Amino acid sequence: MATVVQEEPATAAQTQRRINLFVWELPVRVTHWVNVTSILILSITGYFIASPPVFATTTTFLGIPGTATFMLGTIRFTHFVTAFVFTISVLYRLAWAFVGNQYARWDQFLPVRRYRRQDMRRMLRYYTFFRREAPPQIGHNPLAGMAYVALYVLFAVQIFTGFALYALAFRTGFWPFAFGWVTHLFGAPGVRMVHDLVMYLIIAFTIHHVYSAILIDMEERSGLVSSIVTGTKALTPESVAQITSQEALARQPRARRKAARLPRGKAEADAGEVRPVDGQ
Amino acid sequence: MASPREDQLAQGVWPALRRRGVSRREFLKFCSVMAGALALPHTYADRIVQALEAATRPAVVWLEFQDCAGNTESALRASHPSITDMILDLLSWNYHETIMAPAGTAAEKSLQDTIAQQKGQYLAIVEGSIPLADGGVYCTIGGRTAIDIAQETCGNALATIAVGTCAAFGGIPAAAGGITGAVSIGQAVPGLKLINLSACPMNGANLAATIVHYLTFKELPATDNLGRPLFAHGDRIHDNCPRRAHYDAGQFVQEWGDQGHQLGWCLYKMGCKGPATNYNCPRVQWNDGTNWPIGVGHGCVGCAQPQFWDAMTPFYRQLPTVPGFGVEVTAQDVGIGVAAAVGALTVGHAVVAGVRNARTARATNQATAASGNATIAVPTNETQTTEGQS
Repeated sequence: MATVVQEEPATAAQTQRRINLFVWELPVRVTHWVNVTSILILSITGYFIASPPVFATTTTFLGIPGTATFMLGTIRFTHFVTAFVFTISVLYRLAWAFVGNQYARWDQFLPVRRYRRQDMRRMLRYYTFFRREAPPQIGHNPLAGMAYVALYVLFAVQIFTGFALYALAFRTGFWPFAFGWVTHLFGAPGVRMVHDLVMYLIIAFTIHHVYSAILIDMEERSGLVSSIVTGTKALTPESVAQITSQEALARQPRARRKAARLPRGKAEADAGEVRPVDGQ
Repeated sequence: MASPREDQLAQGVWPALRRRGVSRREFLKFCSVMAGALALPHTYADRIVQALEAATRPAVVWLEFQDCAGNTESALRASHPSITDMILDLLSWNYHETIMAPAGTAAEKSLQDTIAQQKGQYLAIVEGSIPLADGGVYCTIGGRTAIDIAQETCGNALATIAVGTCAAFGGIPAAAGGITGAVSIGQAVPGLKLINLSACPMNGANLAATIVHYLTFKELPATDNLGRPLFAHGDRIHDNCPRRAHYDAGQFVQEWGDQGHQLGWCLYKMGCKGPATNYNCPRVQWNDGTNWPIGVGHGCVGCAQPQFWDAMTPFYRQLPTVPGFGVEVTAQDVGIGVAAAVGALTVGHAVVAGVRNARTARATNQATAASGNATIAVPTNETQTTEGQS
């Protein structure tokens, strides 16, 4: 009796021809993974700084005598060193938003283009199951871009409150000068509370971020998840053509853009799958 | 006939001390302690001795506004090598409501005489905050408001010393819920030559050291960005704490009276504010250097910091609670709740998306099967059916 090969049903997305596009430049990927690693280290060490267990009642830890004399000190030292690495990484990525390629640029995050704002609404409908297909993207989708803006605001709060707490250890000089007013104004315990709370918000973001990446990758079959390692996304020629025409239209002078745009009612009606194409 | 030098010395600080029965040995000990309190090299003890021998006693007026007289108590109870005597004799006390003999009009006359006769030469010490709400009616002395008295007295003084957190930063009367519009002397009368000796109460040794510094160097000591002298507020309690090693090792009191508490472990988890407080408590200590709060197993409450009554509470917890949530809800509870909610939403979304994708796949397959394309694999149960038929 012949064995029947049982395969997963192939979707249209899987069988289509693909174009490999280089999207994420090296600094984008490096800062991403430096951020991941530092957030992991900072969260674990930060948790122990906020709620330290009694590490050892004697100087013996894990059976090695004399190792338990500086447990929290080591944890704090690790936290501080990692904090500086994280800060440099965040600043580097921010700077790269002004010198990197078009998928690293700041306008991927702030929806200044009309078609990006439209895509944001489509993406929102996709996430809330009011729409089947996620609009194709080469770089970030606009909704994700806004999520990263929110994330970087959280980063800023975390770095700022972190340095304010770090400044407590200094008597004079740069740290008290630059950050002393924060703890004087809000009180160190309040600053600590915010620093603690924002950690959980970043963890909550991470849960959503990993899930969304997997979800969209399954949807697009574009290798989205591995793209943050390789830098390359595999997109269908149709998607690329659609995005390219959108971007070309967005670069047109305002008057021509207006003329090319479909009437609003029509655009809404077929917003499901078809998007307004350019007027060229 | 006494020489001019002897005449001068007779009016100085040292003769006054000698008349009160302070021995030369005690005087030298006091000068050494002051050099230590000011964090000066020991060689400066000599210079302090010479300065105090020659110095004439500055006149001082001590104003009490919205206060509890706790700083007066602290100054009088300080008795290191009898610092009480030293403070009392370093200065010519022209006005101090709590300890002066005159009362009523006679007392107020002493203040007015000092302002009139020694304009720009006396020291003003302010204790307590100054209410500004409703025209300052919440604190009046002899029919005059606190702000009125402060403006005249401090405005004409050589320098103003704010003693205690109320005078330095507003303190308890300025805490949330206060209705008197209490402010610090620095805010009430801007532009003063001012030094803030905060803490609740301030340590008498620091007041003595500030005055000794002034008598020795003819200027007020260097201050931090809150106007507090660096010799007293330059260091963090946490960094000079004898229990710091327990913190670094991770040995904490978990509840009052537990084994860690009995062993003198770190009070960080019991809400100690030492890591956020700048004061020389661990070095100078209280009651003749007998002990200090952390030394007796009670966490620091951060009394030397601005707005400590609001900013450093709850005193017995590491962190304040998140505004808008219940009093027992910690930042950790809220944070874990938010993360868990996002996790639950994600799982819910994944389930719905999974169901939808399965439906779409089935629909696609049925459509493909109907069109007769046999090369595309079909779901398991349908395969088995086909197999059975063959």
